[in-house]
Amino acid sequence: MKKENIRNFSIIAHIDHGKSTLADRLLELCNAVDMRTMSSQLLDNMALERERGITIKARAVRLDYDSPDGNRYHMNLIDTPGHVDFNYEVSRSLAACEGAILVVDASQGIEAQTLANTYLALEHNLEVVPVINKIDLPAADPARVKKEIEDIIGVPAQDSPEISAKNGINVESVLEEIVKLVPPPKSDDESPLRALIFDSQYDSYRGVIVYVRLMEGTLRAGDFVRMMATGAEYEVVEVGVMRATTLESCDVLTSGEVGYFTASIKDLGDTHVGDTVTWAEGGASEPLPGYRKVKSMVFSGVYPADGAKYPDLRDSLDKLQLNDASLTFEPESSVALGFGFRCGFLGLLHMEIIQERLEREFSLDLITTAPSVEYRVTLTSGETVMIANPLNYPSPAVIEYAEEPFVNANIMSPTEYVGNIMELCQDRRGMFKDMKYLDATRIELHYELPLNEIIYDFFDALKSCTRGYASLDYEFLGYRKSDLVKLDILLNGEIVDALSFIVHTEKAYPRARRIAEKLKENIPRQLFEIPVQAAIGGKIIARETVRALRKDVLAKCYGGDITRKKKLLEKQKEGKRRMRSLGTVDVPQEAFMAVLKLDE
Amino acid sequence: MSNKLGIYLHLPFCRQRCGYCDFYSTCGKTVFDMRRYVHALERHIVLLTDYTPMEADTVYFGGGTPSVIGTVALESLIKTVKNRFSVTEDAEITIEANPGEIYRDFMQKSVNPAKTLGLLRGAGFNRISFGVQSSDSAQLYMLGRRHTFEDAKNAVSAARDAGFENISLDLMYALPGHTMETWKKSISDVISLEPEHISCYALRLEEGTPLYRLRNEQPEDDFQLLQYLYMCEVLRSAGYEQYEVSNFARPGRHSRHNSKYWAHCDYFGFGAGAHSFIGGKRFYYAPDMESYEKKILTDDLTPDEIEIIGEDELFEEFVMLSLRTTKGLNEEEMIRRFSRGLSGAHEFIERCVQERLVTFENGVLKLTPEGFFVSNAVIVEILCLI
Repeated sequence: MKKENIRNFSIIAHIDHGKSTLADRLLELCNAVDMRTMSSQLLDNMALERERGITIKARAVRLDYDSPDGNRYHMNLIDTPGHVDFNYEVSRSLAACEGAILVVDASQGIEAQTLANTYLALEHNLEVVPVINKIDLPAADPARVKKEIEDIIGVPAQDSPEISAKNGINVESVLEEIVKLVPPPKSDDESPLRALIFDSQYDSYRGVIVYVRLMEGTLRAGDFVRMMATGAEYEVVEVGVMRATTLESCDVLTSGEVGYFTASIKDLGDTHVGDTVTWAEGGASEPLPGYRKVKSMVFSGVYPADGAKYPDLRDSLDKLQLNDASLTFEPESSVALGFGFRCGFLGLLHMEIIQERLEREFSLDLITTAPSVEYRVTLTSGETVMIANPLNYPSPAVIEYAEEPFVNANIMSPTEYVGNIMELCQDRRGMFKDMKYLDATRIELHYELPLNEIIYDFFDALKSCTRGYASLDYEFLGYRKSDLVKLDILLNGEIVDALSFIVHTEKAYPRARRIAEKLKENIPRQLFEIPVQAAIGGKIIARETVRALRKDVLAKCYGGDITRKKKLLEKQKEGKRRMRSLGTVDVPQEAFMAVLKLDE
Repeated sequence: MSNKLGIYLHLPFCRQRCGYCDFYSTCGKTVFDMRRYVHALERHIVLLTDYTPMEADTVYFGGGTPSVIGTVALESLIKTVKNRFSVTEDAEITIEANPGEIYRDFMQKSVNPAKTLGLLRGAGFNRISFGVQSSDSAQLYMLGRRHTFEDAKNAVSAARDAGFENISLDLMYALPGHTMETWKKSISDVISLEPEHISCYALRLEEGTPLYRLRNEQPEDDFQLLQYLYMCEVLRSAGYEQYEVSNFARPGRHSRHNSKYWAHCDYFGFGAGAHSFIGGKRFYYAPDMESYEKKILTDDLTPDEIEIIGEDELFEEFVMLSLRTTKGLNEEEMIRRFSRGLSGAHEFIERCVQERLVTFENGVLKLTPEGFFVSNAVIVEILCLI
């Protein structure tokens, strides 16, 4: 294959603008899958992705496209997630491409997330190919959307393809646009190998499967390679390319190509996404730029419901991290929950996804603590500490001042919801920066918000106060001094460490009341009355009571059927074992979960 | 407690199901169906007792509504029991009856209740248990009972006339829409009939029963507790001793048969759905008349389920059953029989004493009426601690 006939591209789009559907159509057009195995959202092969209709992981596939110009092209499509939490994944995919299709909904226009991802693409010097999707919708207005693209992003769009991925209208023109606009990769087969790892996955038979984009040099089975960051060396067992549903081995991967290799890698820690692979002997001296180290924004304690499963949880996190380098974790322990891990996530959706993957793919039953951001606390001694776990929050007496992370939030919405959005941001301690009319009907708002306020349910609240029309993007801004307190929850007079969290003073009272109410609802009545209290320092600021159980009796023990009664008690004992015993109080898992969802 | 056997016969026949009942019973069986079943019961007794004459001091005919099969069949059954077991002179022989159904014989012909009851007494029954449930007609109708309180009154007086000196009446609380007034009235009405024994059960609406749809109209737990405590108090002052969670009796009139269940005594159950406990084994026959008859008529006595109670289980049962009775759990006896005491639970017990859920005096742990009403939780907690 001539290098001129290779195209590496990804698709960027806002959620629901039709990215995965377009990918499906492209796959079909290139006969990448036969119709029998075709199912919609083919690249989203994680069950979770299909259920939620979103893309979580970047995924790559090679398509063979026979162009009307008589040439056959190798089109390497790297799918990317659209949600704000997964910026990092997007950035990884983009680094392996020369071009990006920008899919925009013909009725909705550009959204905050599209914009953020497009800027990422431009930063990577990618050719951006706008495509106007959903032109068959009654509300479609391709001309307006094209103008918007040119005005806001500054990319020519007047001749962009107008398509309907869902109904297969005009999809071929997208492939032609890619061939015409996206440049072939620069190639250099003579230099020593430099390949960028952009994804990896564990396979119990082959070990780690490493997905790479070759920038320079060649890679074949039998080569000895070195991971430049970790120094680990391996003999390559197999190289090949990714097809829609399978891996297809080949003799050699050359510069400019996207593919995979295996090398019986068992140690998950040896392959870092973003690392550069080179030859073990005569290899390159400088690694590729790699990725900006991803920063965890949201932290939460993850504990096995059954303490004996701790090693399994560790193992599962190891495996997930291989597949999702943005996940970080370190061991921690709690009086209430035993041994677990403090995990760092990119955002709340990322956190939910990881929890669900742990539960589904690794069959673990988990208890997670309320999400927290990382606070920066300067002590009276002058020392500065980072606090991701509320348990470690220093006593107020030794705190000189505390800072919390702020983000720059960019919100796009139809103009009629501006009032609602401002109210919401105000309520979340946001600072208004500016507001810009995109056109007569759409507006862009710019706020500085404490991350702490965003991680709970800001996105949901934003959606509900704008009937789903607003979109949000944010980036880390920096740390700012803030008036923070640690809120403790007491059950039966004893602090439950796993329920403590850090909160802004202004928010402490309403939050405390809400949590106390939620716990009251979720802790079953027990033999003795249970006071539920929220306290700052030693001061109680909210109180509820779980009243004592009044009735729990099997009145009739009929006809000598002791067995039935015994079974009931057995069941009750089992139920008791499933709860966390905190002193004399049994707390069900749901109670820990419920405090995470305060606004329901 | 006696070491002699208790004998239970299950008669799964009713004229009509009550709306809340989830015990094994059938309706609309013909006289021939009943005869076949009675025949199977007798054969079962005969086969089982072939080489093992055993002493029994309680016999209990439960159901269903045992009286439905008619006095002739009942007479025949009791004769068989007496022939095959050595039933003691002073044995307690109980039959359950519906106060509305002693006015008709098994052919649905109108009869004089005094005559029916006289025949039962003559056949050897000396204790009769009537399901009165309530003295409120509307409630009785809602429950699907086909009798009035007037019927109950007449039934009791007819039983007295027939020579029954040991009468038990059943009552129910926690009924949908139950008020304290109707409850108080039901209790005082029942006391006025001067039975020797009263059983009071909380209505439990199980899924699959017609009344299940009314489950949300049952009073709240707090109200049920008030009903329960009121009942315990009123019955006590009327001279009825509470001896179990739901059972009250004049001195010396507790149900000797039911007490065997709670004291780990041996008992044999005959019939479909009947349970037995013999020599540390629990076993039972499936609640299915046809399969039961088929088994017995082919001389197959294998129960449908056998549970061998190991030492640990026996211990748990001992704790659970002892705490159901007002005799309570004797720590010394626990240690003697199982080498296990209550030491792990002392802190918990102390808290329960403070909250008046239990008393713990001279090494005997007893539940108070409040404690009985949460006995499952207390028992589970103790079992988890010791």
